[in-house]
Amino acid sequence: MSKLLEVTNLFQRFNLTKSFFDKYKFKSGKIVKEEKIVHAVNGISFYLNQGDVFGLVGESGSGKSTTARTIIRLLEPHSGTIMFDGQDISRLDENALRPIRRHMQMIFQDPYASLNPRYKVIDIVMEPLLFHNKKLTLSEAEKQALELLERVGIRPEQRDRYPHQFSGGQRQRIGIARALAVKPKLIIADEPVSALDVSIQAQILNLLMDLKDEFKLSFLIIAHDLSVVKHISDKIGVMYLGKIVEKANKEDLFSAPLHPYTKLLLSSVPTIDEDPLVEPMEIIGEIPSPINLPKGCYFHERCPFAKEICKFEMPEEKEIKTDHYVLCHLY
Amino acid sequence: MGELLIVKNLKTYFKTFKGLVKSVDGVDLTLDRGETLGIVGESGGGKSVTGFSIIKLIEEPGEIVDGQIIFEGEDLVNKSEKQMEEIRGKEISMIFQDPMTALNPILSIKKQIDEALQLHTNMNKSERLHAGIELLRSVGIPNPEVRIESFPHELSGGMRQRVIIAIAMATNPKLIIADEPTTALDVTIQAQILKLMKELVEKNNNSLILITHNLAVVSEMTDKVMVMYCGKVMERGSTQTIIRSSSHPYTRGLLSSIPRFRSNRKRLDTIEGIVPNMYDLPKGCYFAPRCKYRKPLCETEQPHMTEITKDHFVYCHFPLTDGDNSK
Repeated sequence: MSKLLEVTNLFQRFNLTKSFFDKYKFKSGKIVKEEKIVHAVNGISFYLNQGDVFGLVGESGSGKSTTARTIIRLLEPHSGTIMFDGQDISRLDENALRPIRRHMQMIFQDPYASLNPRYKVIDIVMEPLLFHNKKLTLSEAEKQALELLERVGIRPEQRDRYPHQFSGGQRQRIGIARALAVKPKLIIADEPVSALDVSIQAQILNLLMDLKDEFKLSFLIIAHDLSVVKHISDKIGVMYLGKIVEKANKEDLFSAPLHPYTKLLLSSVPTIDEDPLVEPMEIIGEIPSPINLPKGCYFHERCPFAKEICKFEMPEEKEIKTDHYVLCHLY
Repeated sequence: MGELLIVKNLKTYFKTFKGLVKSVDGVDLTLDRGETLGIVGESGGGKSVTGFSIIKLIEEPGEIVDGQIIFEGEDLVNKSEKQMEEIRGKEISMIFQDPMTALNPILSIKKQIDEALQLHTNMNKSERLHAGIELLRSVGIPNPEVRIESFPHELSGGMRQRVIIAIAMATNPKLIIADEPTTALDVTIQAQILKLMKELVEKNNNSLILITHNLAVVSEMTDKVMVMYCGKVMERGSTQTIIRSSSHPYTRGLLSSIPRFRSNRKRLDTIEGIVPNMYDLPKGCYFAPRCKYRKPLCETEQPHMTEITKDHFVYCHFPLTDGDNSK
């Protein structure tokens, strides 16, 4: 299996104080320089093999969506490399990116905001077809779009409806059809089911898995819900404040979670199972601000096992067993 | 323990230009003092409207068209708006879903807690401030003496929801209605807030109605569960009964669509199809079009609520009785 996507030491920052007046503040009679930088992604590395599903999980503010947006190059990375299909795309400009974007498509979280309300569904799916293949005739594009819509469960007689005439689950299906239209190699799905009802979530997850085999896709799935990720991923990375604190095969991560934060996440998920997967844990505090990153290990303030060294030194990533990496001083 | 709340045949309809929407259509429930009830279902099931109807926060074009809401022996349906104002916030409090919008953004936390205490208690100003600080402490806000001066935007989502719980608890109400209190929060914060609510409700012997789409949350939190679909109660009973041996195909469908940590199924079980249009409901059982056990009778006739074992009611022509379904 070849590596389809390899991210190495990726950083992403947002400067909140871009203008002169944001940067220089008048304080107690003096002009003070103040810079506020959001450290969204702080050096993450992972790879994705052809045909794999990689799940990135974490809470709000952990940098998982920023990671996705940087990989698909909606954002320019601060530093680090993104290898896609053997090519470094981290520094390419818009023109050079265009042919590559065809192989990388995105499914967004909010099916209400990600479809143009003034387009009919058939046009929504035809647009990428025509954009990426200038030779395609209108009738051919229409035929392909209808096939795609039918494949994701939208009936042909619904082709001329507008997004507002569909339910959330159906809209997400339309979003999936649009992503599939250009026959991508990689689909990045940012919280694809979190806006949907449980019974619909299960339908969409099953659809994604069927399409994966049928269209030979690879997936990068971003989610905050560990149980969703568990069902569809082969590998999982757990993010906290812009770092991947643990990454492993799904089986290893769920049978023997190592990082205290992974255990905390697992113990927080409400469950109808009678015997919980991990011991219940006392949860201390909230995720710190990415503007003022904590010293040492980013998790030490909330960690029940924190030692002295955790307050001063960021741990190195260690491979505990084959393909099971953890970022923690305990190991 | 006596009955605190008895709702009988509650019907809340919305008269819109497109037609009549029967958001709540004949709901019965009882709640004892200190008891907790979970109302679950998908969007559009009528669970929030049920909650809003109980404190009569239904606005035009909605209307409670039939039924009784007997709270402490008095029927709330007949109460005037003025009388309801005495009850809301004092006897019955509500916790809303979105902690970002439930607080007034231009008033300090101090002012907002003070408002609730001023309206419903006889405390003087300094007593109210003291009580406010103690309330914040009881919901686990660190440094409450300082934090009480903050404005909502200075607090995180979890902290705001703690403040909202503090305000809801300020007058030690007999009943708290919480509408999706943790849906907008991260999972670790959700666990914190649920634990806090459970502890407070147990300590103060409040009754709680928890409205949520998440059956797992209910299974950890409440004594009883009521499952709603298209304005009708599909099944109700003790939480144990509903989770371990539910009899309605819809409840079973919901339970089996939950991804589980322990199972290694590659595909999830789903409920086929989507929720029907509320303007154009099926003639028979509303769930029939999506039900994999449906028979011809289900498509022509609505079922009746039947008590299959003590306190376990099912709205189905053919309740499933093959025992354990939690696997």
